[in-house]
Amino acid sequence: VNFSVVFGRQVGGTVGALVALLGLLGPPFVLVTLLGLLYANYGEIAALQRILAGVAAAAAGLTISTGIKMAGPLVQERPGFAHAVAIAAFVSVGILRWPIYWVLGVLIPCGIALAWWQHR
Amino acid sequence: MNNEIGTLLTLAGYFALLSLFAIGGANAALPEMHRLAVEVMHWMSDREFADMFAIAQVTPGPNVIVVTLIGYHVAGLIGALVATLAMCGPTCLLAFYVGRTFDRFRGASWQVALAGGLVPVTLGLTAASAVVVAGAADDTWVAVGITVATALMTYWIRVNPLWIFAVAALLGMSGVV
Repeated sequence: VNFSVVFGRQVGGTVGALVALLGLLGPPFVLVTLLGLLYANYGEIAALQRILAGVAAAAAGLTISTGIKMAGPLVQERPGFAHAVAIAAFVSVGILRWPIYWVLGVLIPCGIALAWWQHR
Repeated sequence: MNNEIGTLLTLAGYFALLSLFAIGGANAALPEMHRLAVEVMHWMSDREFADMFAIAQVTPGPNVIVVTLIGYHVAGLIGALVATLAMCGPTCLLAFYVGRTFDRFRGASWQVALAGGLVPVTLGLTAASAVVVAGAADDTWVAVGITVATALMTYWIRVNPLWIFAVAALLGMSGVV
């Protein structure tokens, strides 16, 4: 989404950025709102609930493989601060369910400072 | 009426704030959305959250569209609009004004440090999302099986996830999940 704004601006200035954003978000917005409407009205139907249960389980699996793919480069690195930061973010948000604001408020400055220090 | 406006303000303020913390995209922000919608505000059940995540995943387009569904569920069409604008607006403005400056300094050491600090955080958040979503979606062993199988297949084989969603939908319809 953010990329569309940057790209749209490069191609057509402010108007370009708006058009790119609307083009990217408009159609899915309409479609998903219609689906939301259907869900609100027919979500109680048992067959639909079962179908969604299956798809939700698969969608969760897709999120897991995305996470594993993203972790690939980091896993091959020598263990360092980046691993500690990633694990801290995972445990605090995923397991302990702490609010993201506190977690990121601490981890992002720490991560950037450590990366800066290491880069120098 | 006041209540409705209050709900819309909550949606707007909450997603606008979250959008600034959603490094790594909307999917990395799922744990926080779940925390708010299910645990704090009780807008929906675990099951409904999983359903909305599923609907958003099968809808072509950016992942951020899940906030549209949450907004719609909470406050109808206007809720959908408010949530979507709140989630996209602040970061889009940021991208609009900062994007070019950022490009100009590509490779500068402060950017390397920025990326070096943000990437592991994003990674941890994505992993957290996977756990939270799986926790909401998998209430039977068959569902766990589908999750694991999907994770393995999309990791090792370059298969379009829509095919897997179709199979999972059929499995769900048949009643085994």
